[in-house]
Amino acid sequence: MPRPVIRRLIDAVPTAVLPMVAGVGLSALVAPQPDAAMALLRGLVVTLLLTLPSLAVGTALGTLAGSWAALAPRSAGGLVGRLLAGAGPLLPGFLLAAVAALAVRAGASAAPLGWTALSIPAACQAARLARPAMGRALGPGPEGGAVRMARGLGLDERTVLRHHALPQAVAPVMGGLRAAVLAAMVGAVALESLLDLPGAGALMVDAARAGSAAGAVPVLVALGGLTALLNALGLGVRDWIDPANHSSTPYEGA
Amino acid sequence: MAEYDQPPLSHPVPPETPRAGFARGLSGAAILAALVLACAAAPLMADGSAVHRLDADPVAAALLDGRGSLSFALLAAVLGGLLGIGWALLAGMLGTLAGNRAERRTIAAAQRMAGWPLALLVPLAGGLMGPVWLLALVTALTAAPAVAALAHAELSSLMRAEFLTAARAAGLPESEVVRRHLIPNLTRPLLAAGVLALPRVLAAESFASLLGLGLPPALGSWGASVGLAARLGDPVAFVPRALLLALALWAACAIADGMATGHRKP
Amino acid sequence: MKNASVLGAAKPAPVETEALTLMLGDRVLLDRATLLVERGQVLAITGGAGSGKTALLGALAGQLPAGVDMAGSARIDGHLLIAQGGRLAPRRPLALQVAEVVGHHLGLDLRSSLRRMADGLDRMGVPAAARRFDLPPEQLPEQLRWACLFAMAVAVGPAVLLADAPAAGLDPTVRLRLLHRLADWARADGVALILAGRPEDGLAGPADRVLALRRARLLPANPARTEPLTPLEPPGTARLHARGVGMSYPLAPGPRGEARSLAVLHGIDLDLRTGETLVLLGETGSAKATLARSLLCLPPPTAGAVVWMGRDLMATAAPSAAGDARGDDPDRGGLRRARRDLQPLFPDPAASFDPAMTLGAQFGLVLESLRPDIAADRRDHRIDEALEEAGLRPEAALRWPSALSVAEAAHAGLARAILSEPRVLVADEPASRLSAEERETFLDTLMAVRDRRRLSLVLATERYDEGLRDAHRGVVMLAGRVVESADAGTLRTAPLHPYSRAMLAAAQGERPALEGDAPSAFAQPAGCPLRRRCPLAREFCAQAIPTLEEVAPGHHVACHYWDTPADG
Repeated sequence: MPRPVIRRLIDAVPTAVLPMVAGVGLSALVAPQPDAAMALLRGLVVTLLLTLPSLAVGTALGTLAGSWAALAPRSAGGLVGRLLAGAGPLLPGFLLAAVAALAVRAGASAAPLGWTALSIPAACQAARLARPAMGRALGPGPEGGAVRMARGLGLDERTVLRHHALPQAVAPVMGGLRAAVLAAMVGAVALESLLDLPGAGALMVDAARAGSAAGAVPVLVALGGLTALLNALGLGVRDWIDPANHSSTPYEGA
Repeated sequence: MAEYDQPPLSHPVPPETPRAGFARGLSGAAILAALVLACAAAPLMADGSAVHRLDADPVAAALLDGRGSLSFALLAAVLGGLLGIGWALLAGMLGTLAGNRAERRTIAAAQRMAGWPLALLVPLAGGLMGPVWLLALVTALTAAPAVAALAHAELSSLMRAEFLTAARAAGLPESEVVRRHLIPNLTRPLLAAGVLALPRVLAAESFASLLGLGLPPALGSWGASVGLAARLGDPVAFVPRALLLALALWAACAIADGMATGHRKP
Repeated sequence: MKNASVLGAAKPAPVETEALTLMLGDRVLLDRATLLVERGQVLAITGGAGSGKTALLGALAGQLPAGVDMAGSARIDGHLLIAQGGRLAPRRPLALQVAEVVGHHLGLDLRSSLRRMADGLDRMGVPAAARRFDLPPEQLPEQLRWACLFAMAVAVGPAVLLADAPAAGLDPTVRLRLLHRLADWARADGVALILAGRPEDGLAGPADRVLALRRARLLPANPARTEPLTPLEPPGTARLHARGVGMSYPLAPGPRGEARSLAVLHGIDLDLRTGETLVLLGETGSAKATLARSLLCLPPPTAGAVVWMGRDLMATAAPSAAGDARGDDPDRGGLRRARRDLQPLFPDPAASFDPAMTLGAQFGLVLESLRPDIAADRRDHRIDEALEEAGLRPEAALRWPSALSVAEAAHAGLARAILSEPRVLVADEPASRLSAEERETFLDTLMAVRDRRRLSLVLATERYDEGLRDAHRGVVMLAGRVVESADAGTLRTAPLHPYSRAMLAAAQGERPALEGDAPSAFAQPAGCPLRRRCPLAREFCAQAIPTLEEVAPGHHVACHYWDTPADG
């Protein structure tokens, strides 16, 4: 695992791991069922497996599509990017989860549908943030200074896009990861409950339906920890892809 | 010709995004107003048997459901917006009375809470607590921290504005500076921050109702009906409600964005 | 043709244009320009905001800005363009970007590229200790970033270097030093160098030839006005006194909870006489703006006293925070009377207007507050008068601040300042947002208003020559202290302090005799704040801060070795 990610994870121990441990411990103490703690642990793993891949894939694809939409609005990729950026708020995760549930009732397979349902909102959010940032990086305003300079220094267009324009589009996406994580958590809870997956969200909803505060509150605490963990992972990835942290190239002698 | 008199070469004017945001906000407001009107008029469209929603014409039933969702969202948004703005103003007041540290802590708390999955509290409250007003309060609380953080950012940037110094140079006492300059300039950004609560509470309520833990069935809610239709596998009941909910969410987000980016009147 | 130029050598010139025409929509930016730049020649092209400099350089470099059409021909040899703003990829380490550019042009590997870059930095006068190749550009100080950009160009060694607004935003002394080094390199290596920028950026100094881009034509530059518009009248008696004025800002408490503060202004004494123009000269961090605001008690200084017509302003301004300050108090402690007499001009005039009110409404509020003796129905008349005097039409009162151009906002700021018929104007870089003709027009209006009303004027500026040309007296400030004060004539011809001499040299386009960058306010060296840059510095300079001593009647200098020759 890259070092910045590990550093962020260590930083996040008090906000991420402690709530999860507290949630599991609390449910072992107060929950009505005897195996509640084990179920919660399993549920947290399921929720993590549900949210993490879809967030990663959705954000990456959405960023690329959004940047592409600013670069070549009329191409196929650009159209997808514009569509994602425009449709953002139309497609909240929980509504897509309901669509997925409907499709599963009609006979589709649950897992790929679930991941898709969770990755689309992340992609929309990323595209919505990346598209205007990329537009500014390529435009005539002051933010376009780096691209103009790179072209003026005679670099080829590929390098200009890769090193001078794209980082400016990625930066706001990384800044908006927190909102994407929150949306993914909400979507995951809805998905687990509607598709009857054994995730932590489903546990919480079942306990709340039963009116059992002792069953629901520990899960909520643990889910808060999981959110912090995902946020820390996001920050770690941000540090990892940040070009400023790639200065370890040897150039002594200069 | 005339518009090129100050050409955008050395000092480029920012592109037309604020205007675009404003137009989007306006269309969002129009759509939301149309939805509210349609939902209010829905009983006229349905015949007397519309009390049993699932038997009725799906569109009319969806509009009937919208009455509960939209009125609850508006109520909770007003509450959440007020709570958030009050939070920001409290932080600002603490800053002047008790020093910067108190202000920073108050607002850091809001920022930390905004990063927490507060929306999960709504289904929990729906399951564990009874009355609707309590649910509205919890829903409002989930939106308040984000509103507070934004409102405080606007407030503190305004407090540093140069025109306040200019007003003091004109000999206006502090009370006049607040009345004549600060309050008129604060209304719009605070309103924009408050409107941020609308999409959040609408989404939170729909999410809770979708799980069957939101508004009581008697009130009717898009989320609850969508959830039910999804469980029953009934696309005819599902599609109109899901579409209306998505449209309402888009409109609420568009209003919030438009308010945030829209320019002050000329 | 007038703008055709040096004809020359056997080899074709590296830059040659023939009837180059640039159009933005149907507006002509450049009309049939014929331009020839030889090897080793430095050409400066000056022009105000939006005159088409960027488009011209873009056309030469083959990168036309969007929406600009080109006609005629332009031929240019292997070139580099340093774009406006001097931005690189903000987060990518400098070493990688240098290697990319140098490697792209010369096919060198990272290490050889950086070695060439280090040679370039030597020629830009950056000491080896300041070289931080592993940092991303956004973490480099502005001055070092520009030096690195120039060094990168030196490392590549193009036939032509085009620089758009080079080193803009740096202090004049730092900027001129860099530009001179760049021009030296171009002459030594036979590079055709084209510098484009605003006329007040001092590009003319290092250049062999200056062309001004005016009304779409490249014409020989007009020299700026060097004499006052009308002969200055001798000033009257002193009315505004500042004694030991100091300003410090509180910082976060230290590790043991002790209170800490940062002093930016140290015990300044000033007297301003009626009808006198006093210019505060200084660069970034000199605290000239803080001093200007302290004179107005906006906010009141933390030490010393400001006395206007025998009344201590700080004593009257202080109780304003107390709860008993009521809005209906007609003249609380005489402060309002003093506010009427002392009016500010702000560095960003557009931001100094309330965006939620028309100009007229704001002016009415000023009159209502400061001139209750003017009847409500006479206020509009007074506002129209002030607007016309400041060079605007009376209709401007109906406009919203957001609809004003930068120049109009500056004039509107002047109109507001003279509305209450003050006796003193305190102007903090009032023309810093303006360029070329707009700037001259505004300063001329300001001086005309001053002469007509016999106002005292305090003008804080970093432009040495321009500030002193209309002033009686100048005060040169450095790091919150006065280092030299004398009448304007002395400062313009024979300043004694090395810092004043450097500012004068920079203003005249010559090479300032100061090395390095100004230290940050948090890391001032002990002793004289200039000693790390100063050509006269000796060991003793580190031990004591020099105090102001009178070297001639009315001429004060704070330097231990002001009478020592520079190479002594």
